[in-house]
Amino acid sequence: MILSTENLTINFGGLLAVNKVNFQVAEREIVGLIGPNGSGKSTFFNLVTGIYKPTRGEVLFKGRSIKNLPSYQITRKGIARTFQSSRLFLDLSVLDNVLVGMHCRQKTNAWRAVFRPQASRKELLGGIEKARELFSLFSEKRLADSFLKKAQELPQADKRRLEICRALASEPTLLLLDEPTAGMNPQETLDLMGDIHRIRERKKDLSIVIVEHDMKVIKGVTQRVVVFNYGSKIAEGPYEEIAQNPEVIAAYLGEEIE
Amino acid sequence: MVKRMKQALAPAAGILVAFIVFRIFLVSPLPIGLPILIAAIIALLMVEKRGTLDRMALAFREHRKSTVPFLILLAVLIPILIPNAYLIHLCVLVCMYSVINIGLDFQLGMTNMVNFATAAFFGVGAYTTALLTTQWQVSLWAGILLGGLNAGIFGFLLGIPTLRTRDYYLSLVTLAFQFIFVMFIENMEWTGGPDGVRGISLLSIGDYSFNDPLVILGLDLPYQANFYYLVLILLLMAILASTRLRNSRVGLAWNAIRADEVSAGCQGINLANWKLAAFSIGAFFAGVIGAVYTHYVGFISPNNFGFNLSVALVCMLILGGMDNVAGIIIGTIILTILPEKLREFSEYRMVIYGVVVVVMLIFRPQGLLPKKLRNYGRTGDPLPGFPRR
Repeated sequence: MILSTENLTINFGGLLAVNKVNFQVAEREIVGLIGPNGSGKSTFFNLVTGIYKPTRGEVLFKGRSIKNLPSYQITRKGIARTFQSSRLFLDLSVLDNVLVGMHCRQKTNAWRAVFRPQASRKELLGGIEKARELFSLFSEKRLADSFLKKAQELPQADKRRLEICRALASEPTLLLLDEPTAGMNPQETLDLMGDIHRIRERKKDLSIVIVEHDMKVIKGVTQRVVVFNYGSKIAEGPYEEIAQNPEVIAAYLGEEIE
Repeated sequence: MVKRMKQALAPAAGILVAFIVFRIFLVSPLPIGLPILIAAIIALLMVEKRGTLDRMALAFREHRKSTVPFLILLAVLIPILIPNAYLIHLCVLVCMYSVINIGLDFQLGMTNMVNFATAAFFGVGAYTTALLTTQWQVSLWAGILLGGLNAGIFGFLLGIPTLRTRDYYLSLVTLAFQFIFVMFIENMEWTGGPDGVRGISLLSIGDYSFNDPLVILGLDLPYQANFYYLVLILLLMAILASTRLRNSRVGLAWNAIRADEVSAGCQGINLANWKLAAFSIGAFFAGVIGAVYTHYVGFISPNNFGFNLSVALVCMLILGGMDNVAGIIIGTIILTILPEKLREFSEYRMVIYGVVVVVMLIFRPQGLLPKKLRNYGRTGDPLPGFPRR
């Protein structure tokens, strides 16, 4: 197991946003995380990445507890994420966003930047080269073409891609994607599914957890699905099995999952 | 060939025009200087609309082997062109405040931490060297270095309580520090209390005293010229350091924190470390200048380092443009010289700052020269593996 939580719980003034969740992700696995709005999916991501501290329970990454680590150390250990409402550095360029993503794999500090500019520049150019490789993971070349544009000026779909790109820049072994297709049209969604497959092919030891409302994506990309409702895990299994589960169907207010 | 010449000459001409405007503004009385300054600002804004400013900036970078020495040459010529002690003194102040503001920009412009304690850092540097050199016989140059380092330590210490705060609350913490500092030095005996420290020796190198007139090419320049060249060197070093920091992982980390702290943390950025770095490096700059200032005027007292100065420095950044070194220097020039021209109305000095800030925040919050995206690679070459721009 690369990630495993035990009885993970967070209590927001009486509201159990995440309640006794046991969640496992195996090496190289792609897990879908679904559930109605407000069922605790994003809160779960925030707990794993150290933005919230759990009230109770444990988070193990590669067998070690990361429960009390700050976000930046968790990223350094190999967990990267995207946000539901994209949180790019909007006033920086596309390239700079990805370079910031490499922060924890680089070494230049203030002293080196000022007194050893050659070393600093070499690392920067190495980072730019790496960014180019990352851009090539995505089906459309638009990120590479607009790499010196402000992130703010990108169309919505490209912003989502850039966020994934930035997350990959930290060389994660576990990638948490929070609604990556939000704001995308059907064609862009299809492209992104292709991208996820390509990322998976190129980064052999990467595990992915993907929160998504679009069941086509869940069906097309994931090997296993976990369902949240009111902060608790209510079901777990392959997509076909989950889609038949009456409790899951009820959680989605009677909507049938296609 | 002709096109290349034109490209190289355009930034040089731009620099020359800017220099002439600066000279008129510095030398002329206000009724002449101010209209010319305003005309220059309007011209700047019009040129910017047509994209000429960006092209000029690019051309400046492309031909920096000639443009940078040209700019430095003009700066070196200032005391020779304007051999007036008072005006050179103003130029010394401009250079000093520019260095402090480049340091302040690490916090305010790059990381978005509005710091109202810069004058206190300036004061820590000043008092450190004043007390060390008058009471402990430490050498002046060591005093300057120790002044900077001590201010850096104070910056670090101030940084710690601000880590738990953001935005306005962070500013309030710095504000408190500013007032505590002034009260402290006013009330302690070993700092000289409200009387300050007197009899501080002026700088010298070997037998050469900075207090003697400077003789260049048979010209007798006022002694202020010595200090002018010293602070000009410091300013050039500060610009170089700031550029290197900005175009490295450090500047990126600071900018990421400015844009979104939570997201920056999730990119592996240790927020505490980088914020403390911004505070201590910026404070170091202010401290070194504080120490140089001390050995320039020979006498310091608590009211040199009050809240008003901190506010003035923040205003200079807001006017000139945060996270843009050229903008910072322009803002510093305007807001250092303008109040001096309004000596007769000196009670209204703070009103000028207030008006400038309000006008800027309403009409042009990004400052006269807004921050620019980083443009990697030299001379517009395509970066490895990227399409040509």
